[in-house]
Amino acid sequence: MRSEMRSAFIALLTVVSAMGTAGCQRQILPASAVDQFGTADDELDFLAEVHNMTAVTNNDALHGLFLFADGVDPATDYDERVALAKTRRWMPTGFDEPANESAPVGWLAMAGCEICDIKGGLTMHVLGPTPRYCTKELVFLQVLPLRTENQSLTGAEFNDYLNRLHRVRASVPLVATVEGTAQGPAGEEAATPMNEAAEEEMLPSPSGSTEPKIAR
Amino acid sequence: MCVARADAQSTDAAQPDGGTPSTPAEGDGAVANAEALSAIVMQIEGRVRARTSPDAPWAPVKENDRLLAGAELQTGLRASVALRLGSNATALLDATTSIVIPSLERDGRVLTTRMVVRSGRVDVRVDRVGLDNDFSVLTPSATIAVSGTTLAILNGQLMGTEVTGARSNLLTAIESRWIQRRLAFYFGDGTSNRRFPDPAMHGINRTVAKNLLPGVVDGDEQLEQAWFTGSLQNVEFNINNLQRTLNMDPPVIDEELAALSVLQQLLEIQLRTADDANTADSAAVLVQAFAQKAIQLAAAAEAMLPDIQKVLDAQNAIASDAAKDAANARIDALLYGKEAAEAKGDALQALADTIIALDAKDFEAAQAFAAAASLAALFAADAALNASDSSKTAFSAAESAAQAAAIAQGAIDTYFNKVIEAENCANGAAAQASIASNAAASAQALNQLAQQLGAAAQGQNMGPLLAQIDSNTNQAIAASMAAAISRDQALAAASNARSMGEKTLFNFAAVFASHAAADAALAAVAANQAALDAMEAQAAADLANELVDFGCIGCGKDH
Repeated sequence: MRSEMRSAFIALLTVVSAMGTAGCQRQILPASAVDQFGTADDELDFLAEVHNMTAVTNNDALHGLFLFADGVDPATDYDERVALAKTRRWMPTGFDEPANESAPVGWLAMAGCEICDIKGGLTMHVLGPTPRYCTKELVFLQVLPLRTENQSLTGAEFNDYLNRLHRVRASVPLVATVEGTAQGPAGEEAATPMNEAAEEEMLPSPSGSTEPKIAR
Repeated sequence: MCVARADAQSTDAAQPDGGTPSTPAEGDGAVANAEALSAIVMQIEGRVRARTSPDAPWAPVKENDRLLAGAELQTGLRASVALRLGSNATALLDATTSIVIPSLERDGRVLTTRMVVRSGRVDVRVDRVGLDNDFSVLTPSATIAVSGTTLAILNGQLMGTEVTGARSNLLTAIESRWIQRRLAFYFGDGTSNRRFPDPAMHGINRTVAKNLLPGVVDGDEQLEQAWFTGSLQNVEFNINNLQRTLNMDPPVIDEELAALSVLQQLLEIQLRTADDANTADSAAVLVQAFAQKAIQLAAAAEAMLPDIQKVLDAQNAIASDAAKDAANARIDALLYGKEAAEAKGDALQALADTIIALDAKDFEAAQAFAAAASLAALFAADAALNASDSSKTAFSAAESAAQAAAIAQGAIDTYFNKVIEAENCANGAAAQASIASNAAASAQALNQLAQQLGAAAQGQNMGPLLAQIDSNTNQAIAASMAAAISRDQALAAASNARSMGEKTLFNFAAVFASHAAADAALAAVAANQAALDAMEAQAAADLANELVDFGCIGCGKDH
């Protein structure tokens, strides 16, 4: 009886270990959209392709974030993108994952905080941007739903993530770039001199309220 | 505004994979008598593309493009696009937004609009325009019916559908800027007149004011009069009229714009053809003046011909005589040179005889030969002097001939300077005639365009305007033809004057002068050679005398 219980316990332990091992593996996609639509002119095709993918890959996420941040992707391959992203503190320096592996939310949140200049709270001020606390910060700002830094985003979710980052970025003080393109909300150049339109932009509130703000 | 949470599954089923959903209007079959409206692109930033149906290829979108029901739009990462939807709504699509417009039509008093927000953010304002609004925004999880307000719909995979306040001031700013650009058509080119020195006010007067002030004034003249007398000073343009213009269906606006555009273009053409006619007239006057001057100068040059010919004849005679003198002097110089050479030969022979006599100890004979050598040297010197005189004579004659040739050339130059002046005037006439011709061609082209525009706008009374344009064109053509005739006359006069001068005027004195110069040079060579011969003869004589003296010392004779 005891030996049977021991055998059952060992078997259960083996199954749990196997499940745990399998659960730690990230999804690897056969290809990234950027392989097909790598230029800035292909941006819309790239977004459409990403939209239909079951998960956004590291390579696609980097390409999309570069397009979002700069309008162009200066890198020509994945290794260059990773190196450039590390110099911008978009991802941890120890990051060494395959191009077609699903991108974890953690470094996507780091990149989002850096691009949108989100300073975060006390922990982020003390420790600097980390995947864990950047994720928590973006969850707090309702840019992301309640997720952990190790989860993935689908392609459609990644596009939505960029859209929400765009709105957050629009709320920061407007600074004209070198090219003269303001990094503000859509159509901001047509706003009134006091930039009332930007003030009217309703940002995700920490309270989670989605009540519409009546403009007038 | 009414926000209704619909059954998510049924809505999803209506738009599989984001495809074009069916609309209530379609379901009711109420589209049979509906009038299709369009969405016009008011403003674009970044990369935006659209397609007319799910099967159609994507194409970039540009400002003022029209989209019909069924159209699908997608914006890029740093992009946005503002749309005027039919007659009653404005929508602003934010970055990474994708929408479909399945329905956009007017059925009687009902303006029906359906917009599917697949993802992203859309700010919408629906205006109350006196008709019934049936405006709905569909997302995968909700249907929002809007009767007349502003709101923003956000839809995404992360948070689902959210509704928030729209950036209404931004929408207003975009609308205002768009209508300002449209009104640029109305305002024309900003000309002014005496009563309305402000070009903008003139533009308003001529085009827009009567639309903005319905019932207050009727017609340009009445409006001008009212404005001039001050009765309109307290009237403010009603912004509602602008709003009404904005709310008009785009095709209606286009029709009005097209009509005004034809009128504006014809007015523009009339002004430009009038300018062309004035230009051609001015150029023709200048051509005539230039031609007159050219003809006068050519005639003056031709009148100078007999006098110049007399001068040439006189100078030719002088040069001819001088050339003859130079030739004679050359001959003399050569003869004297020959004499000098013979004398030199005699002196050398006498020197040789002196040496032979000294060898033979015949001192008396030697003395006689030395004396003969001295005599020969004297002859040579005399001949050299004469040759030198002849050379001087030849040079003097050559100078006279050259002077005559210079005077003759001066007379010829006087004539051709006059001809050049005439040619310059003729060239000026040609340049002005070219200006007149270009102006006439421009007027003709504009007239042709005006006729086409007039034919396209037959319903409007463009006849007087077209007649004025035609008159301007004919005026320009007539001026151009007159200018061409005057130009040809000027060019012919100048050409004739030059031709006549080239045929009759020739500087023969210069030929004589060149001959005289050659003779003078030859005479100089002969004189130089004679001088050398004389020097050698003198040297031979001196040597002979010295030898005789040396030989006599040995013979003991007293010297």
